[in-house]
Amino acid sequence: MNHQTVIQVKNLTKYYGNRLGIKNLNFEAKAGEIFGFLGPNGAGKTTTIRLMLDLLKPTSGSLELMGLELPQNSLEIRKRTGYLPGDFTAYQHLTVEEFISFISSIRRLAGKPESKLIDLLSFRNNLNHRIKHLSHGNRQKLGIIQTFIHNPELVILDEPTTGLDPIVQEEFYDFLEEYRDQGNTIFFSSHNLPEVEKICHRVAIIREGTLVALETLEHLKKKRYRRLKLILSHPIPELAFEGAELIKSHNLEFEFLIKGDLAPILKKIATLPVRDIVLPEPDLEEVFLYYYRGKDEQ
Amino acid sequence: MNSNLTYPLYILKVHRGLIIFSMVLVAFFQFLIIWLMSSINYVPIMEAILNQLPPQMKIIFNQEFMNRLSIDGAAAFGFNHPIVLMVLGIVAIILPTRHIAGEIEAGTLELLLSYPVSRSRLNISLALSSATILIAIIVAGWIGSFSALIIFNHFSMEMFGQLIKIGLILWILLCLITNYSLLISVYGREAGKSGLRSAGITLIFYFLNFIATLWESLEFTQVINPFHYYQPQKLMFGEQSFILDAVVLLSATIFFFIIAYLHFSRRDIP
Repeated sequence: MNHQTVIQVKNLTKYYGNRLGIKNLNFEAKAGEIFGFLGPNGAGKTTTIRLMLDLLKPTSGSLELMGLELPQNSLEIRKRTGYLPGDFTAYQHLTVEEFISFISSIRRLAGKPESKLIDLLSFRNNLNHRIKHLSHGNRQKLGIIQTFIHNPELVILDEPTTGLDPIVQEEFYDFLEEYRDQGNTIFFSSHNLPEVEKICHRVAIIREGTLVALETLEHLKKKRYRRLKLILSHPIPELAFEGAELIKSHNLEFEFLIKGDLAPILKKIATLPVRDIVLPEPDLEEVFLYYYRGKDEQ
Repeated sequence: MNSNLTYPLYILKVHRGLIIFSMVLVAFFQFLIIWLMSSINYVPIMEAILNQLPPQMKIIFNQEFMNRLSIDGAAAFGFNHPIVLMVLGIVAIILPTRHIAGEIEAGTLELLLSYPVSRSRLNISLALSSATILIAIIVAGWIGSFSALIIFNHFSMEMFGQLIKIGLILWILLCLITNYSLLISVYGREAGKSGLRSAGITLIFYFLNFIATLWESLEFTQVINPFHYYQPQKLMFGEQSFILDAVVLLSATIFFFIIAYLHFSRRDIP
């Protein structure tokens, strides 16, 4: 294994009884990158993460994190890894300060840890609150703080921005980029395509337990389809664009699927009697349906 | 703080209310029962009542029952009273159920095991914390008994030794309940279901033991019934072997712990 490879997953398969979790997963994440792991709910993202943390036992295949094999080096790996679960829950009856002190002790951190994130996430006022009294957003902030409290080399984040307001989200993305610049690796699992596009270098896309793509962001963006919805003010004899496919039409509403450059299409639209124009963000299912349609047809 | 103590201290903190309540209740109950027996002479009253009963009913109220009406019997009976057993049984079941199945259900076990905490350390911490909490409650019972015996001038070294033995056997019995509850918990993922199963099994054993003492056809079940190895009155009057009971209960405790330990080390944490 290359010494720069922080995560190496080889032929990883997990069955829950007869039910497939993930099948023959292969990918690598390098040191100093934010690696996106994208897939709809139930695709196998959390299963993969739990296998990386030795919470689940693989049916077959192997995992190496930071050059250490699982499960033999499970403790050492978890010592050097920070993890934010998808649905972060901590001990409800503890105060935030007690919880931080609990994990500091478990992680054998010397002294009282002072995370930069407490101020970045405007969390200082919550330190004396009981966890059960925190709002969903504040609980998620606590989850983020505990993930980074020991400055881990590898950070595994499962849907980290759930419940965070947009301003805090942006600050968190900046923090992640700064953290990555220090040479750390971030494994960023999400079902939110724009979020992954914003901060990740490379993206693995998983669907129904199988890896369907492993791309750099530039490549992903080039190949990606977009939807365009046009509402005309009055009917015209013919409506078509080069490089766009009409997928839906109803009265004066038309929906196109566009691959490639938008500019010539927008130029043509400017000449039409348009009442409204919408460019919705594609959801993941659309990415799977359309982005890989060409591949399936081949 | 030593990080090995972090989790056991957390368990103590979570359950401190229940622990203090149980300690006070058991100590008070032990004190009260010896105090009552010291204040009122029940034996002639009870004998007069029993003489009025038909012979079939008299069988139920045998010599063992009459023995309870002495100070020794009462001191032993206190540790066998259904209320005391129920409180201690609840503590013995709650600890593993809440911290294994309950934490799986809540998602906190996933978080805890994402830290550098081995499953074996977690399992051992839980078993040792439970054993410590249970012995603390029994110590409270001893304090209640001994203080009453001293105050009402019934204390003797012989009784002291017998009560220590009764408390120790009770402790091992409770550790056994904790460990089969632990086994049920490591196979489960919901605190409620695991707790009910453990409580159900404990109640079945308890009533089966009671019925088997009255009904000979069920005597064969005694050998596998943990409550059969905990007979405080018999221990008090030297009719039961402390060593044999302790060895049987301890072996079963270790057996359940090992099975639970092995399964927990291999299971998926959902």
